[in-house]
Amino acid sequence: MKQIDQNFKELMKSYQPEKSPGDFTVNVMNRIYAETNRISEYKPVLNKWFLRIVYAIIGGFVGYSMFNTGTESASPGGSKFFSWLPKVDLSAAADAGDKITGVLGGLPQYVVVIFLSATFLLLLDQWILRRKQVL
Amino acid sequence: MNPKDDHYYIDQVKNGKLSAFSYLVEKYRDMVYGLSLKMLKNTEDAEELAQDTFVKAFQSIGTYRGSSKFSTWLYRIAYNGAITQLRKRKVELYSLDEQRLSDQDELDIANRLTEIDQEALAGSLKKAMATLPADDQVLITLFYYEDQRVEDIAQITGLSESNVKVKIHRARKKMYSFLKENLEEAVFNVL
Repeated sequence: MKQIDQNFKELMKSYQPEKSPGDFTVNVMNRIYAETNRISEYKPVLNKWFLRIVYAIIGGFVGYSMFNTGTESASPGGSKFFSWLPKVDLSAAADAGDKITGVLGGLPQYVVVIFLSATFLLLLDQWILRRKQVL
Repeated sequence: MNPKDDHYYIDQVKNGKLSAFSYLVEKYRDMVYGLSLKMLKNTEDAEELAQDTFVKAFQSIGTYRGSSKFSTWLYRIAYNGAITQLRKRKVELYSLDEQRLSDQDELDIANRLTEIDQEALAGSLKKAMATLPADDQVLITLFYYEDQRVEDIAQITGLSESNVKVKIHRARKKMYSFLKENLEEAVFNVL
């Protein structure tokens, strides 16, 4: 290095550069932690519309099973009340329901356990999401 | 290898230990802030830019391969950020008056300056620095205070090495001119 540069370098040792604010490192690290949390923010596996459709199908199936079993109504008065309404032929749906019930009834036990576990995990997934949103 | 050099902490951050990044922030905070302040001339903007620089560095630390010094890489992020801000403000960066001082004049001034007290010298240097355009302040600080090589400064600023040398040379002369005037005024005041 040239003498002239060396001399100026010596002079510049007396230079006092601007200091960053005292809480600078804390602020930067807070931003980095916030950034990292945002990146790893929890997202449900399945979106809410898909789950609503699944719930509707399950709900519909359960409802149909409940109201389509037995030959007599639990409340005869109600039955009379609705007797004037035109009857809908649900025999096709009933056949389909029977078939589904038959298929489900024939499933091995471990498949049912897997199915129930998956349902439980989906519900857990939704529950965690709700808690995250509240926090 | 010194286990406590920058690369040790960079590897730790890459391996998921976020807190290791605070060492790097602590080490370079003043330099990055100083560079930002020289460019933007506003403490709030400078702090924001300096913080952004570290956050960007953290986000892209995976792409840092170690081919250049970490400080060079970091200063380049800060410098580019400042240039972007200044372009938004449409501030003219490059203006410089060439000073007519010989090398011997500079040596004489340097010798005389070593005789004045440290506090006065620090004040004069600060004032002399303020007479320079923003980019020249950065070049002078990086070369004479931070000991960065011309190649590294060229990488940080995106200027050619010869351009960096010329600009440093001119900026130093301009600072010496100011220091000379300041020195003569001080002597005149004493008399």
